[in-house]
Amino acid sequence: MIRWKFTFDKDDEQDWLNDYAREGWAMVSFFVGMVTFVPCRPGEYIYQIDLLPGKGLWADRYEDYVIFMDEMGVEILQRWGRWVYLRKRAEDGPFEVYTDNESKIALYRRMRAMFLWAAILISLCSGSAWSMLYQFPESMGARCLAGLYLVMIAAMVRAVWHCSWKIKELERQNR
Amino acid sequence: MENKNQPLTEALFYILLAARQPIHGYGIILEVAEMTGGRVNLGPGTLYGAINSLLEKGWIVLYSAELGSRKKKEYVITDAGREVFAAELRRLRELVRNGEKMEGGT
Repeated sequence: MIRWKFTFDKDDEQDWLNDYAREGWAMVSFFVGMVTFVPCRPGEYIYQIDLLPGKGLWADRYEDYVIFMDEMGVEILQRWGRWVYLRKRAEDGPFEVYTDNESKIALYRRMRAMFLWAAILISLCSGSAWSMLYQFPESMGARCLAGLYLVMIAAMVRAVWHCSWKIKELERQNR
Repeated sequence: MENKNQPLTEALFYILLAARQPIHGYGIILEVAEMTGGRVNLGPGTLYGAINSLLEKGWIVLYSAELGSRKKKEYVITDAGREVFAAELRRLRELVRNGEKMEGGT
């Protein structure tokens, strides 16, 4: 079956996938918000989402990561830029990619940097849309394009804010 | 980023300890879990980040990795890693020594 989900909140997406897995639906692929599930035994898999180390949209040494996860018995289901979907069989024990606050903070810092980078990039790209809107304020196309850019920028800013909030929470727990 | 004078995180401490002899990634997870009676279970992401950080600092090195084969990469502590570990152990001993004053009430 296919379900739609497009979010920049890793924890929300991860919980959503694990809810389906508990009900007997195993996620197998993701394509621009379109998530494909196949039947599985209820609770057969545990899903986790990770953000690969790297810069911007590009991951560093992905091959190393693949080999490492394979050695750990972790299946990499899908990669989407630096966003990766991982899973492990529940019968092999608990599965959590990051188990201490330091590495969780590092993960959210990587995510925040990526969303910030994306927000700046989208803002720069939106320049032409604003000048078009200025020249043709009545044009529906110009309005739609500007609106689309606004939605994308807002989504990135929200994602940055969410990561900052998570980092603050984890740092507070460390104190 | 940790430097030589900062306390080690628990994960780094136990990874350095497990790497006193050549060991592969999954071996580190098992050994650390065993040493701590299951209290410290390193997640693969935590371990991956820690290993890369330790390799960059030169506190561990790649002991063996046969390209093109299925042999797992093994890591081993370096002299610099042993120095950092020894300094951390001194710091922890001092903590325990001073902490015990509480029990003695002096």
